[in-house]
Amino acid sequence: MKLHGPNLLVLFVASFLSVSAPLAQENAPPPENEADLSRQELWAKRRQGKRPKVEPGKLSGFESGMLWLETKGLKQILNYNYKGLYTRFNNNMSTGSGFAPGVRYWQPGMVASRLDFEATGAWSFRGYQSYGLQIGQIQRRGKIFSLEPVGTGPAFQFDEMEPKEAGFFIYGDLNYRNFPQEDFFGIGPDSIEENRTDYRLEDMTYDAVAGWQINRWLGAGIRVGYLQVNTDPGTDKRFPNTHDLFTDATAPGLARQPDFLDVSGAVMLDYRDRPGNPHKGGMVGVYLSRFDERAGGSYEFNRLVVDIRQFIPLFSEQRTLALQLFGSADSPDAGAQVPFYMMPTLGGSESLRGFREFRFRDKRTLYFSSEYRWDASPAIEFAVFYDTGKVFADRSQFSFEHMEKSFGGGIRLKTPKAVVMRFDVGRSREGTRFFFKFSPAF
Amino acid sequence: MRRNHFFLLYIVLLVLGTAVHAQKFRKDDPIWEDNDRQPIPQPAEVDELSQVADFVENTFSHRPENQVPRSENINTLGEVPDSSWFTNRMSRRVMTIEELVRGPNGREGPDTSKHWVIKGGKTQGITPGFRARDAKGDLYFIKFDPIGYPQLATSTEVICTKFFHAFGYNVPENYIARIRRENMKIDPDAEITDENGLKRKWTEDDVDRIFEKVPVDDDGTVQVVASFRLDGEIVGPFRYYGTRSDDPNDIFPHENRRELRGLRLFAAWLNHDDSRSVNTKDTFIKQGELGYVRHNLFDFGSCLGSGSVRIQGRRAGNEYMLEWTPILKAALTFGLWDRSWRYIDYPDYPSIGRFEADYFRPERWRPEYPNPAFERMQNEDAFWACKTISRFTDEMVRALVKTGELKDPAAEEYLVQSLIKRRDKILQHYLSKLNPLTDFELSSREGRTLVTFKNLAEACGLGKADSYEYRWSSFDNQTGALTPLGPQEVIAVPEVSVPRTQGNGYLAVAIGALAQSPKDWAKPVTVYLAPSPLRIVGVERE
Repeated sequence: MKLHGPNLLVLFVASFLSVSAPLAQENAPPPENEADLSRQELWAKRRQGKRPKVEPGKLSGFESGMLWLETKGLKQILNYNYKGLYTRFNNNMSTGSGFAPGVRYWQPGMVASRLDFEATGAWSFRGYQSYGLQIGQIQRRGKIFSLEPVGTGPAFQFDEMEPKEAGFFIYGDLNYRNFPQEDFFGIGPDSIEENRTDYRLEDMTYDAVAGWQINRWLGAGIRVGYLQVNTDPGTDKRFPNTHDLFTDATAPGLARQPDFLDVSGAVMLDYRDRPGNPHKGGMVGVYLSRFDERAGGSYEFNRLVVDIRQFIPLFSEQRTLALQLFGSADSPDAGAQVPFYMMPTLGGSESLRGFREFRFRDKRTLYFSSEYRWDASPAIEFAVFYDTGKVFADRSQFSFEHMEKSFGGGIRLKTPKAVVMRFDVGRSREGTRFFFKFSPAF
Repeated sequence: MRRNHFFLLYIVLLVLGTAVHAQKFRKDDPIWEDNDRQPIPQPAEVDELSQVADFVENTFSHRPENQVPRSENINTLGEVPDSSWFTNRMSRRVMTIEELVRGPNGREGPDTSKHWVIKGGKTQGITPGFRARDAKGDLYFIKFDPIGYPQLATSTEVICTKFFHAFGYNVPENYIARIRRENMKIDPDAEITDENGLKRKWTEDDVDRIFEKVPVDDDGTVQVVASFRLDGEIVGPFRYYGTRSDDPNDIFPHENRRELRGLRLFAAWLNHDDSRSVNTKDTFIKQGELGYVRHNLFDFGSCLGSGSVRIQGRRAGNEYMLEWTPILKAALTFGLWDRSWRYIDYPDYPSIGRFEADYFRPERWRPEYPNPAFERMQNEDAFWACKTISRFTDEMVRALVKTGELKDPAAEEYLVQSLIKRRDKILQHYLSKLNPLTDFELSSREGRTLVTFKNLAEACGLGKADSYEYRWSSFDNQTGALTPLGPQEVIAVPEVSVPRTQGNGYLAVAIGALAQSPKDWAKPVTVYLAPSPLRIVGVERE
C-alpha cells in the first residue's frame, strides 16, 4: 500500500510523539552539558536545584493538634491540675442529666500524710447539681470496690470498671445532689408511658464509709450514715409534675420526705478478666441495706440486691456471651412503705433497653439480660441483646411470667481495657430507643 | 516531490526526537557512595510526630500508585550506595562474627560499678525509664522489662539493634546492663513529665515506682538496656514518604528509597511491627558551622516476641490496627469468621514472648499500620533485601541471639531456630518471584572473557536451574537501543562468554534461569558491560 500525503502526516506525527514524548517525559531536555555529567554530579546538581526551595519543616494543623492533645492537651483537659484542682467529666449524675462537667479538689496525704481530702462539684446543662466532700484514707479508692451513696435508688452498685488492687480505705463522705428532672411513670408493672411526669429530687447524705479490697477478686464495703431527702415539682416543661398527677397514695413519700439512718454493706466477687471490657469471667455482688426513718415508722425497710454477671467466650476471644441476672427486693417493715423515689427501677441504657429510663419502678425488680458480643476488631465490637424483666410489689408476685421484653443491637468502640463509647438501639412494645453512652451496658 | 519532503522531514524529526533520550550509564557508574552529606545549615527541630496523626495519615492516605516506580536512589547495579541513610555491611560482604556481635557499639558500655545519676524522665516511646549518667559521666537512656517478663524487651532490643546494624542502618549503641535500685541517685535539677503532662522534679518515689514494676533478679539486680545517645542533635523523625523540605540533600522520596522499601523484609524477619516514623530519628551532624542530616532507626523494643511494655500482642505482624477486610468479615458473619492468628500456639518463654515461625508468611506480614515505603516494595527491592538476609548463616544468627544474654538456654535455642526458619521462609518466597542470578563478575579463561554469576536461590538450597538461556546485544548508551548480536543460546553452567565484536560499544546480555519451577526464574536479568576497559556497569531485572 502506498502512503499518501495525509497518511504520511499522521504517521509522522504518531512516530514523533511515540518516540519523543515518553523520552521527553522521562528525561526533560537536559541543560547544556548535562549529558557529560557523572552520576555524582547529576545528583549534586539536583541537590543544588533544591537549595533555593528549602523551607522549614512543619507539621500540618491536624498533626499539631493531635500532638498537643497527646502530649499536653488531653491530659490537661481531663486531669487539669492547678494546685490540686482538677477538671472532671465522669461525674455520678443521674441518667438523663445531660453533659455534666465538674471540678475536683484533691489533696492526698495531709495531716502527717494520713488524711486525704477531696471535694467535688458538677453541674449539667439541664440544671443537675452534685457536690461531695470526702476526708479520710481514700487515696486508693479508684482501685477498690466502693459503695456509692444511696439516694436515687441506683439499681447497680457494682459498675466497677477498674481492675482492683488490695487495699483498705475509710473516710467520711458528705454528698448533696439536686436532680430537677427525674422521671416517674407510676409504680408497678402496669404503669403507663403516657403518665410520664417529672419531679425534683434533692438529697443530702452524711456517711462514714469503710472498705477492704482483700485481693484482686474480693472486696467488701460498709456505709453508715444519715440521709435527708426533699422532692419538689420538676423543671421539665414537657411533662406534668409528679405532684400534679400522683398522690401520696400512688407515690408514697410524695407528701413527706422522711430522713433516714441507713446502714449498707456489700460484698463483690469480681473475676472478670478485664472489668471494663470483659471477655471471660464474671462478677457476683450482694448488697444489703437497712433504712430507718428518724421521725416515725412509716418508711422503714430492708433492701437486698444481687447482681450476677457472667461472660462466656464462645470458642474464641472474639465472641462472648454476656449474661446478667439482677434482683432487688425492698422489704418494708409491717405497715411501712418504701418512698417512691428510693424504689429500684428498670428501663433505660442499662436495663430493658427498649424502654425509657426509670420506666418501671416498684419495691422488687427482676431482670435478666443476654447479649452476644463479637469483636470485628480489637477496637470495634458489635452486639445483639435480649433484655427481660419486671417490677413487682411483693414476694407473692415473684414469677417469670408477664415479663417485659426488649431486644436490639449495638456497636461499641473500645480500648483493650474499657468500652469508651456505646451506641445501642433497643426495641420494645413502647417503641424504639437509641442510647449513646460512654460506658458498657454491663 | 512533496511526498519526499514530508518523508525527509519525518526522518529528521524522528532523529531529533530520539536524541533527547538521556544516556543510561554515566562515566562513574556504578557508584557506591551517594554524596548526600553536603554541608547545610542546621534545620530547626521538627516536633515529634503525633502517634494518632501518623496512624490516621498512613492508614487513609499515601497509598501506592497503580504503577509503582522503580527505586530511585539505587546505583546501576540495583544496589544501594552508602549515604546518610545506609552503610553497606552485610549487603555487600560477609561480616565476621566479631563484627556482627560488636554491632554499632564503639565503647565498653556503661560503668555500673558505682552509682548512676538520673538526669530526667524519658520522653520518647512507651517503655518506662529515664536518662542517666553512669560513673564515667556518659549519658544513657535506660529502659526496663515489663514485670513478669524478665529480659523480654531489653534482650530483644540489644539483639535486634545488632541485626539492623548489620543490615546497614544507622542505629544507636545499645548495651545490656544490670543495675540496682540503691545505686540510683537523682540530679537535683532532673525533671519528669507526670501523668498529667506537667513537668516537675524527680523524687525517690518516682524511682521506687519504676523499680516496683520491673522484674528483679535473685541477686537483686535489674536487667536494663542502656542506649547511648545518638551522634548529633536531634532534628525530628523522618517520614516514610516525601522528603525533608529543609534538607537540600534529601532528594529521593523516602517511599522510593530501596533501603526503606527493603526494610519491610528485615522488619518481617525480626517481627519489628513498630517500624514507623515515630521510631526514627534524624540527627544533625555538625561539621563546623554547617553539617548534614543523618537518618537513624531506633527503639527496637517491639520486635521478636516483645511489645516493649508487655508481651507482643497476637495481632502484631498479622493484621493492621485497622484493616477493613477482616473487620467486615467478622462483622458480617456475626463473629463466626475468626482470625486464625488468634490460635497460634506460642511456647511459654517469658523472655521470648510471642514469636514463632510456623504460622509466619513473609508476604502477609505487616507492621502496626501501613508504611508507604513498605507498601511500595517491588520484587527487585525484595531481592536486594534477600541477598543480605541470605548471608546470615545459622552460626551468625546464633551469635547475634547470644548478645541478648538470655538466661534460659531453651528459650535462646527456640529463638535461634525461629529466626532461622523465618529467614528460610523469606528467601523461599521472594527468591521464587524473579530471576535469582546475582554476583555478576568478569573473568578470563583460555583467552575468553566470561561473565560469571551465582544463582542465589540455588546457593540457599531452594532449587536448581537446569540451564541458563542468554542472548547478547549491543547497547546504545545514548538511545537505549538494544541490537541482538546473535540468537538466544543455552548453557548449563553459570557463565557466558563475552562475544568478540567490532566496535567499542556497550554490550548487554539478558540471562534467564530455566527450571521446572519456579517459572519466574526465566524472566531475564540484563547485565550491561561498558567498554574501555570492559566492566560490568549495570544490572536490571525484569
